[in-house]
Amino acid sequence: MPSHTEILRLLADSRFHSGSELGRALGVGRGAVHNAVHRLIGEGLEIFSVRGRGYRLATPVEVLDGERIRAGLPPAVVGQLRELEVLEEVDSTNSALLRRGRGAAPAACLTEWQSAGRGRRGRNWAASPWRNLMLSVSWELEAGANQIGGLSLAAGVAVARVLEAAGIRDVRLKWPNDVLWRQRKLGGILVDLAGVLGDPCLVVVGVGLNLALEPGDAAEIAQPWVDVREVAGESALSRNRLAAALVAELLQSLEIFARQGFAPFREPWLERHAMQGEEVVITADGAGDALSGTAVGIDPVGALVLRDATGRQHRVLSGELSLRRG
Amino acid sequence: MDIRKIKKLIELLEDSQLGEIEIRQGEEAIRISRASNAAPAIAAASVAAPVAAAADPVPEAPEAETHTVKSPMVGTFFTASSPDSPPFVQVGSRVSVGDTLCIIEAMKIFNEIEADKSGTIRAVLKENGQPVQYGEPLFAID
Repeated sequence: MPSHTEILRLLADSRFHSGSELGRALGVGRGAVHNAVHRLIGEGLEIFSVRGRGYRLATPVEVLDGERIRAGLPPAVVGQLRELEVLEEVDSTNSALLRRGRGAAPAACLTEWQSAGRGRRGRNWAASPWRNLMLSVSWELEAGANQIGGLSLAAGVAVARVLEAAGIRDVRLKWPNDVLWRQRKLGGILVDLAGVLGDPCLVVVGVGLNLALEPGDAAEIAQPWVDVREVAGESALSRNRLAAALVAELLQSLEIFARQGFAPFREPWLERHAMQGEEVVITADGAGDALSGTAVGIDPVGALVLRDATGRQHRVLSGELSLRRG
Repeated sequence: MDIRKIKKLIELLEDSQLGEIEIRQGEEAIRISRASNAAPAIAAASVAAPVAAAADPVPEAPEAETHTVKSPMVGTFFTASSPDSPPFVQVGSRVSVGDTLCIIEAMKIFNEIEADKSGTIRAVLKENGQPVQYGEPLFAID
């Protein structure tokens, strides 16, 4: 049975390819081609099947290609990267790099399909395969886990810079780690950490970016969303080029963070703060009461600073931020 | 703060699953914590002398070799990977080095805390959703 990626590479141009042509290229019979195409349709890809002409993708797909991504990286990044892996399918790119451990860092992992992609605390990250970007980079941080404050915000700055360089304006950051465009979610960041007290730790920064969501995904996303296709048009959509830019910017940001901490990222983050001066509510993930007030900024380690109705300031390290309604 | 009060505090700590109790009363402050090894240690700010005396009634090395897992960062303590999942460990769970014990989260940075010693979980010193400080004891393993 041909893999998803093998058959997609042949169909990528969005022209008709007959079953026998595909079968010859893959070394299988037409029945196997039929089954493979239908598995792709089952994964959410729109493919036309026309008797006598064959199969055609509704819109072209740019399959992730490790060689092209590597070629798009600046030499300094290529020099320090120990591994760059493109997987057709994985539980999650963050988990994959956590399993590789400290010895493999700095490393990058990209995938077409995450079977257990994670959003915030256990929520699934929904995204059609072959249309969006899901990638992670790893770094060994000598300073240990207590020096990690602000890293998810620094990663947000890196993602915003890549999108801005691709011509997208009005990118904003929602504390601590969402990438927004006009209050709609364009991407998310999840940072995992492995390490015990006093030891250097392994940091894994995962980024999920909506490039072109399929209508089927929209139903699964519980908040307003937008994709790069809508914001910037198809021209900004080279997945391999964007992937290379993200890997490079994230690794360069991690290197700066490892030396100087959050300080160089604080101002750039505040310039893009989606809720500066707004009335907001923080809801705790676990136990605890909601806290509401005005979002007045962030502190030197990236904690959100809220001013409540009595004028008292609170430093918030954890919880879900939303605009106060009504 | 008199000696009886301090003794009461020690009993309170021993009966609870808390790692530490700190009380302030005007100028005085006392902090009593379970140390990572053997006997409970007592630290105090402005009441050094009575505290030393208070240490006497404490039995020597009550538990053999108790190991404390401490938080490597400031954040929120979670016992499970999601609100619907069962906790990673409970009191009495057998753990091996590398097993995940809990998650500490801050600013959407998730730190899976692993056991750095094999043994049995004797105490879970924090509750789900509670804030934790750098170096604060999370679990006792022996």
